Amino acid sequence: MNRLEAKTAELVKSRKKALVFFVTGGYPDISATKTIIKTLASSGADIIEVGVPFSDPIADGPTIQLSSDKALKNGADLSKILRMVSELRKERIDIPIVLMSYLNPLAAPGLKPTLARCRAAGVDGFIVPDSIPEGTGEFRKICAENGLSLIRLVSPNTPEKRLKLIDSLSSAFVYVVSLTGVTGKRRQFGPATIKFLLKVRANIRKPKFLGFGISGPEQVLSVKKYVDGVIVGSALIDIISAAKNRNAMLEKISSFSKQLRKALD
Amino acid sequence: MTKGYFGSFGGRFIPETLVEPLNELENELNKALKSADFKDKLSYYLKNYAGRPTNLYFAENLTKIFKGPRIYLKREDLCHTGSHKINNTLGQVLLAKMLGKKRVIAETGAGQHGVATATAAALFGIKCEVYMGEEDVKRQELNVFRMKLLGAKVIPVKSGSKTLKDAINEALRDWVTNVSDTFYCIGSVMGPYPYPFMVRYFQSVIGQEARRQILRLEGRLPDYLLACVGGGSNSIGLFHPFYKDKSVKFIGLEAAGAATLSKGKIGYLHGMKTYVLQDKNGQISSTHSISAGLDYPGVGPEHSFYKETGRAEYYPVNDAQALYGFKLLSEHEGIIPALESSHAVAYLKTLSPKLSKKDIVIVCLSGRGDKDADSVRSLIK
Repeated sequence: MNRLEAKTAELVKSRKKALVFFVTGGYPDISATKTIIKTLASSGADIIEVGVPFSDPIADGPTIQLSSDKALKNGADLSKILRMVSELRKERIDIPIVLMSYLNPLAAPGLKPTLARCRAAGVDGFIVPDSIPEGTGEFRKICAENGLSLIRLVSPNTPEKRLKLIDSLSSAFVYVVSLTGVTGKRRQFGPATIKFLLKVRANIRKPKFLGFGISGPEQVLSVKKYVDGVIVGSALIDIISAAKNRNAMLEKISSFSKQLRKALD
Repeated sequence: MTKGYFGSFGGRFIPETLVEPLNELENELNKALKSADFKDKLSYYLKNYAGRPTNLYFAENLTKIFKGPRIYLKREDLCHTGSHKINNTLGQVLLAKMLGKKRVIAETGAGQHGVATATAAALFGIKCEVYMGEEDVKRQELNVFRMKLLGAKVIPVKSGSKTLKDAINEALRDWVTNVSDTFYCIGSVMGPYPYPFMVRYFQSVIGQEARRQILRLEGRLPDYLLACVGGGSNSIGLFHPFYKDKSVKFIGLEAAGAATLSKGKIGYLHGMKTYVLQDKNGQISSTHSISAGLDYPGVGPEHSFYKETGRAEYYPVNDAQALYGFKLLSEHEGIIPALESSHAVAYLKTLSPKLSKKDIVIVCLSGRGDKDADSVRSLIK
């Protein structure tokens, strides 16, 4: 059982809701990413998703696209992100870390060696939005061989039968995409989202974490009873982009995380 | 072969949100291809609206100049809107209507597919929006204006390299967002399953006609088929109906600055597993070609399969060679070709000396060159 699976099991047992953050690896630079993760880990976050930037992120909205572009321009790549993860592990930061990326940057150096390197660095799993169960069985297999979790996604137009299939093929938790669309903040969730979450609850047994469009505590309050956790990405990136200096940024991140924690508990 | 694949290429590598719409499209397509009504409608419009069949023209002057093989031109440039793209958009927009969609979106590079989609949308009365890289909007001004005249909205794409690949990204993001009422009309034999199969079906009319025509004109099959390859739709359209004719050799010509099959590695882009131009970290490369329609770092998965199995060969043709092809055909046959098609024409110079007078070559003239007049004028000054 890796850190992620231990964590989700513990959350289920203690009936606690998960707070998950997405941060673009290397935005604005690798050392910032490292301090951001440390700050989140000590401000109520349960799990961190680190984005491995890709030049053509079709599932991402403008906020994450821009942060990925900048990270790439600043020289971020998988090797640097893995070095940072292994440094965090050496500093005894044990928060579960999953990489969020697209198939091509993971497959380019070869899936097998890439996944072995990820495992060695202290990564716990993957979220890959352009990978569906069909055609990526090999990926799942290599993940399993390395004790890495491959988290699958469901979306509002996923039929019930398929929700069950994805539940059975996802590890640790199921990523529930709140809307048909790309990542990015939305103001509120409507009745259609709630209806979808009820369908998800009836068909998926693994912990269900809601992502895409979550902007702040009010929204979390409106959906928390339907899900087991929330995933916040673009809203965090916006805070990083707007900050005047590093200390101010870390303070804002810490208080944002604590607000969300409070809303969830 | 696994469903949705050409050998190990193709498949579906897409966000979960697109699984249902792709399944829906697949079912509707299968129904349409079995329905006499759909097929009759499509052939009616191909004949009476698009102007098919297009001529297979014996290029007497080129044949004399190269002193080698007998050269034929498949005149897709004579199609309504000026390129083969209309074959595909008539089919897809008809399907969109059958599916009850309210809106079609498309990506475009040179603007030919955008114009063809806007045309079919105007004809069948459906709203149309076209994504086009900002760079391409600048260099293909005429086509941008044509799309607007046809009632379509052109959305300039400012992300990434601001060319075709980024227009596709943006169209995919739009589709993921507006999936319930929007039909994505992809312009080439690419994207997730069933697109490469569907677009091949609609473009195969090129090769089916060419095969009939050459048998009538020469009493035998050709020795070589030449076509340019960006995403690869005019080439697959010409090649595929000859697939089982093993004596017919296929040659695909890529822009040297976007030579995916000649210089790329296997990867995942825009929903498919195929050859991709990328760096060692799997970041997609920016491409550079004078022809916007070939400026694409991926390629239709069936071409990857043809390359892998040796069924087709692919060679890069550089900008200067393409310009040579452009001028050659203009000056000696009185046909101004699209810069894309000029790549295929240019390769005749390399190929002809290796062939005898008995050999027969068909070149796919995928489009006409009016749209390129401005950029060529500035290049040959």
